[in-house]
Amino acid sequence: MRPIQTAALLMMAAGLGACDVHDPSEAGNLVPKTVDEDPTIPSIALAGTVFHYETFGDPTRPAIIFLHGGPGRDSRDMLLLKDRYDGYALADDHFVVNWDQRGTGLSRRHDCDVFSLDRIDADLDELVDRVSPGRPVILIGHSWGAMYATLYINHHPEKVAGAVLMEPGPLNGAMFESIKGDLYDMDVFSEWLNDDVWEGQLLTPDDHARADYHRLLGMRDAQPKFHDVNPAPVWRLGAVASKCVMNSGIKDGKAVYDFTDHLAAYTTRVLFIASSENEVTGTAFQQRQRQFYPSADLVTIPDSPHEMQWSHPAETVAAIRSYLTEVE
Amino acid sequence: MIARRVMSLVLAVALFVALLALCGTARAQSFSRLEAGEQTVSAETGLQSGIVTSLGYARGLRLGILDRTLIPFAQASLAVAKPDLHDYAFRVGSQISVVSIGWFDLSTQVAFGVAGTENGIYSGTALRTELALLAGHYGRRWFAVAEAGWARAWLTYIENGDWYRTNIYPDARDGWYSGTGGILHGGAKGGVTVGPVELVLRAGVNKTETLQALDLPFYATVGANLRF
Repeated sequence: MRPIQTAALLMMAAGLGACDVHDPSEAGNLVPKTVDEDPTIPSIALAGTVFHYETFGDPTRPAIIFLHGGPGRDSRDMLLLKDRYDGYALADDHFVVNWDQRGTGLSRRHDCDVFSLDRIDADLDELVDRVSPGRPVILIGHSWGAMYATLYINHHPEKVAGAVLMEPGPLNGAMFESIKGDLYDMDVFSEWLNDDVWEGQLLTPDDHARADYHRLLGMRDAQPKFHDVNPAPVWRLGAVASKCVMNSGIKDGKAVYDFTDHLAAYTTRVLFIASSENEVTGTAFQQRQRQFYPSADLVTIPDSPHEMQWSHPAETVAAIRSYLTEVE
Repeated sequence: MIARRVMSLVLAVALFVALLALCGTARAQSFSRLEAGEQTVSAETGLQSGIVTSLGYARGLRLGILDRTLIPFAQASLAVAKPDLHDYAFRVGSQISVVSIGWFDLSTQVAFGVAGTENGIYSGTALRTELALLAGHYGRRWFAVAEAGWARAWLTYIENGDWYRTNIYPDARDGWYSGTGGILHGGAKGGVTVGPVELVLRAGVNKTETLQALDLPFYATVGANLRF
């Protein structure tokens, strides 16, 4: 090797050594740390994992458990629902539990084979038993979280005193198949899709940190028909949870799950809340979905997008409060 | 912070130049094989980490000491679904035949490059290498080879965007990241020559280097090379 080449290499090595080179796989660099890397994050250990978990209000009061959307999003966008509006907060008369579901947000990460519909049903069942032993809970879920609530009610009707379902996604495979073409903008010329695939030139989803970071690329623009112009924030997406929970309900490319087959046994009235702007799972879609429950009301929040709990929290809490007053 | 980034970029350029220097006359791509003294300009388009269009140049150089023809090349690519100069890649490299027995030829390609992106979350610039093996037959009027390769981003400068910092993670760290990504590919490439023009088709599958699925798990391109 020529001297000048050797000198250039040595100078470069020295320069790079002086530079702070980060590890993309290390939580805290591109994405926040989870409960495993940061013990100061409030957490609860159950069902063989550790969840990011916060509570509000008096634990002796009837429990409300929030169920965030996704699968693979997290509980950050549910937080506005615990705030005070018109002199009322849900925690005034309830014990409110907000948590990141398995493998999402700041909760512990898991490999794909850990995820199944039975597993996540068991997660929620253990949480219900822990926060409200022997006493039925109120479930308030948004989007996937409202599907999750229905999955749970379908299996454990006796443990649920009421449910608020904010624009649930499809409650069974047939409903999914009826709208699947509208869920995502899959135009091959769309900027978000090309940004998503081009990114492989620079960063690939080989571990949780990189996969969660990569997953963010679709968050802003992938679902234009939901009209979440400025999407609600997250702590950290759960890429593996998102993919693997979804895949657990799909077989040979077709949605085969059914969260509704035992709902006839659940005669308690539930509340559906829909947004006025969502073109896919908005009011018209929820009119069809409410038929799965023997008793269900539907309220539409005017001028709201899909994430109404973030864009219109006061109106959403008012609807929830009105429902709770009647059902409890 | 700006001074630090400029320093980092200078270092990156230095690294890039040094690597080029090390590989001698390294400098094109979906061509088949060139004889000493031949040159080609190439255009390629299709699906390859998005809808991509590339322009390239290659020439055949006789390496007497190895009794081989070295084919240095350069190629510039843009993601063109939405014309965006921020999603680009540039690479220089060389192809050389390693084994040639009868009709069979085994060649290898080595390339160094830079790729950039700007998306809703961050902007990034990656320093990459690519290694590929090409095994098959090069005839006078046609060629067909199987290809397998490994591309890796060894060092990537990432600057997190305002939206990400404001809405998701304020403490996200900007700066150089090591080993941000790697892609394995395997497929086939073939073409026919009509006059001075060679038409080439490439297609295959992609996975990450730890065999994770990519959002676009395949590639398929069509190219034309003008020889002179």
